[in-house]
Formats: sequence, structure tokens, C-alpha cells
Amino acid sequence: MLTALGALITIPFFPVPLTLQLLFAVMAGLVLGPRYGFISQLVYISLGLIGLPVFSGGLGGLGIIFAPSFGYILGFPFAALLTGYLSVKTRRPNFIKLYGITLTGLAVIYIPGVLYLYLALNHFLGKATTFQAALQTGTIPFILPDLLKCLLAAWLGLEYRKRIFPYFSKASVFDSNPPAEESSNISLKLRK
Amino acid sequence: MRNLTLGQYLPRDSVIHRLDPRSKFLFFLVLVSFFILFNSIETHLAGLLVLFILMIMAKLHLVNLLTLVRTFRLFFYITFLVHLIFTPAEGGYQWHWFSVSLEGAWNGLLFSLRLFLLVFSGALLTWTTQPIEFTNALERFLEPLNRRGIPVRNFTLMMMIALRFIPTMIDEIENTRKAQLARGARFGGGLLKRIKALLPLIIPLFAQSFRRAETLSLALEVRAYTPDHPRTYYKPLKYHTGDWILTLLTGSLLTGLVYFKMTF
Repeated sequence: MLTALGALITIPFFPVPLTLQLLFAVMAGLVLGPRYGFISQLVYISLGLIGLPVFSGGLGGLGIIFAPSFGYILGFPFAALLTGYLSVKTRRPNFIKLYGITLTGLAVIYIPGVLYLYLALNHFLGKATTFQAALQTGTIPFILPDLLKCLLAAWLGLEYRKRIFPYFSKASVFDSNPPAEESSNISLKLRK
Repeated sequence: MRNLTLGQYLPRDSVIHRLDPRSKFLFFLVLVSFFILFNSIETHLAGLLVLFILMIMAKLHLVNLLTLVRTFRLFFYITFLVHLIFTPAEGGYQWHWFSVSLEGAWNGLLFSLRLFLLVFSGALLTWTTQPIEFTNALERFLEPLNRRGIPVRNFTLMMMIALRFIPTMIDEIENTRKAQLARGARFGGGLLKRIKALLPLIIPLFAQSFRRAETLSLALEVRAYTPDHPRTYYKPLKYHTGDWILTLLTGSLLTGLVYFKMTF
């Protein structure tokens, strides 16, 4: 259990380049599985909120909650959860399937993102906006680069499934409730 | 860069810094709901005054505030401009659906001020509270969830480990970079070249991280550390007199808030 925890920790905490957050969120799901993908993204958000400059533009701190774009960040853990769940359920992953999965992940990021933008504009920024306008400003400028990032994530995820996942599939990283003895042996198994 | 203080914490020896993170956080929550619920120039100015007093009590400088404003300036501009341009008003300058008027400018000012207050109060909390204190407070707040089987302690453990190892990793990136430079690596060039040049940096970093994670987890397991069980703290959180006073204040502010919203 702790082995798994320890290994997972390091992954999401690279100094995340500006707009690669989305890629990292989706990859966290694909690589870590639903449970730990979700937790790792939650940890990421919490670290940002308590003041580490991990959000795009080197932002951090509690003030960021009030940026109209905070909703996208809220979507990350759920995107990781969903992509992780779907990819684990997929028995024979290929590029098309994984691309579909990353796209659902993208949608899961956009939904709270746009909702939050809408609420922020209407409530604490006091500008009455139609939902449609929020939808337009909240998706159109980002959709194309994000689709490309999803392509990249799907490719990386496929390579991961082909090369590394087989070693883990018997270990408990992807179980919802890992049995203690088995998981503490992951490292030993890998070394053999 | 070993002594790099993590995050935005500004170490001072002040009353505010010594407060318990839990009481500070509760106060922050109520203050923020106050700013969101009330929107008039009087309440905004009162809030600003309170925040300034707190800032002086925390021995912070105006420079810190200016840095904050600079970081968030884009949000302020946008808020102001949106209100200036899109407030429908008579007697102002009108062109198609753009209308610039005094009323719009006033609204813009009011709402940018509110955004500033929100961001300011958040920053005040992050400036005066160490990340590790936050983590401990979070663990305490989420304790009820832990009893229902949600692994809160695992989560806070991950946060603490991350907090501990981010500086180490920053050091390591620097070391790896220098080592690769000494071997003739180049980190400049076009976009594709730069991405390719990152590989000799990322691969050792990953390998090293996994190795460290394994050592760390073995060390934890050898000591029979189990995140699901209650633990003790090196510096346990403790409510002092100041915290009780602040919590009392928070409670009365909350009651006042609810009362005013119900009656008016």
C-alpha cells in the first residue's frame, strides 16, 4: 500500500509546464488508475490552494478559488477518475479506444469549467451572462490545442499499457481495496 | 536554492502567524461569504479596512500586496472592462452594443474591488500559514470522513510527502541539468529540439523519484507506519486564547450575516 502511495506521489508533482495540466490530469487517470488518479489530482489542487505555485502562470494560494477559470481545475480529479476507470475496464486497448477515453476526460474537465465560469460571471463578478455565452468563451479558444493534447495522452497511455501495465496488472495498484500483503511486495516482484 | 521557502508563506513573528490554522480558516470562510453576499461600496471599504488591519498585525509589507495585485491584474482588468462596456445605460456613449457610461465604470470599480477583496483575504491566509499547518488542519477538518472509510489520512500523507520532496526535486533537476551540460547536452534551440533536450533531464528524474519513493515507503513500512491509524504530531495543533477569540468573532460575524440576509 505504502509502496504504491510513495511511487504515485512523485508523478504528478513535476513543475508542471503552463498548459500541460490537462495532459497530466488525463495521464494520471490512465497511468495510476481511477482511485489514485483521483487522489493524486486532489493532492495537486490542495497543494496549489495552500500556496504552492503549481497552477498555470505560477499561480497558487487560496485567492485562486475566485479566478473564473478555477472550475477547470476542479474538473481534473474527476477526469482522472473517469479516464482511469474506463481504461482499466478496457480489455484490449487500441489508439482509437484510448483517444475516446481521453476525450470523455476532456469533457469532464469542461463541464465544471464552464459551469464555474458561468456562476462566477453571474455571481461574484456580477455580470449577467447567458449560459451560451459562457459556453462559448469557456470552450472555443481552448478546444483545438486540447484535442491535440488528448491525442498525445492517448498515444502515451497506449505505450504505457503495452510496456509497463502488464507488470502491474496483477499487483493491487488498480484494485479499489488493495490487500496489504500483496501490495507491499510489488517492489520485490519487480526486482526479480 | 536550499532554503527556498515553499509556497507563498511569509515567515514573520506575529499574532496572526501564531494563530491556529483552523480558526484562521473558519474566519476566512465567513469573511469570503460576507464579501460575496454583500455588494456595496460601504461594506467593501469596511472589509478593506479589516484586511489592512490584519495585514499590519501580521507585520506584512505593502510590497507583498502589490505583488499580489500584479499576479492577478489580468482578472481585474477583465472584470472592469466587461462592466464598463457591457453595462446597458442611458446617457452614455453608445456604439452598437457597446455602451460606455459612468454607471458602467462605477459597476466595474465595485466588482473589481470585490474580486480584489476575495483574492486579498485568500492571500492573507496563505501568507500567514505554513503549508504543513494547512495540511494538519485539513486532516482535522476531514476527520469525520476518515471514520466513514474515506482515506483522508492517506491523502494528507501524500500532501506532506510532496511538500517535503518538492525542494529536493528542484535541487535534483538542477544537478541533473548541470551534469548533462557537462556531458555536452544543449538545452536551447527550436521547440522540437527543446522538447527532445528535456528527455535526458526527465528520465533520470523519474528513475530517481521512483527509487526514492521506494526507499521512503520501505522506511515507513519498517517502522510499521500505517496511515489509517491515529498518529501523533511533532507540533500538535492547539487552540489558544487568541484562537478562541477569533472563533467567537467568526461566529458572531456569521450570525450577523445570517440575520441581515434573513431580515433585509
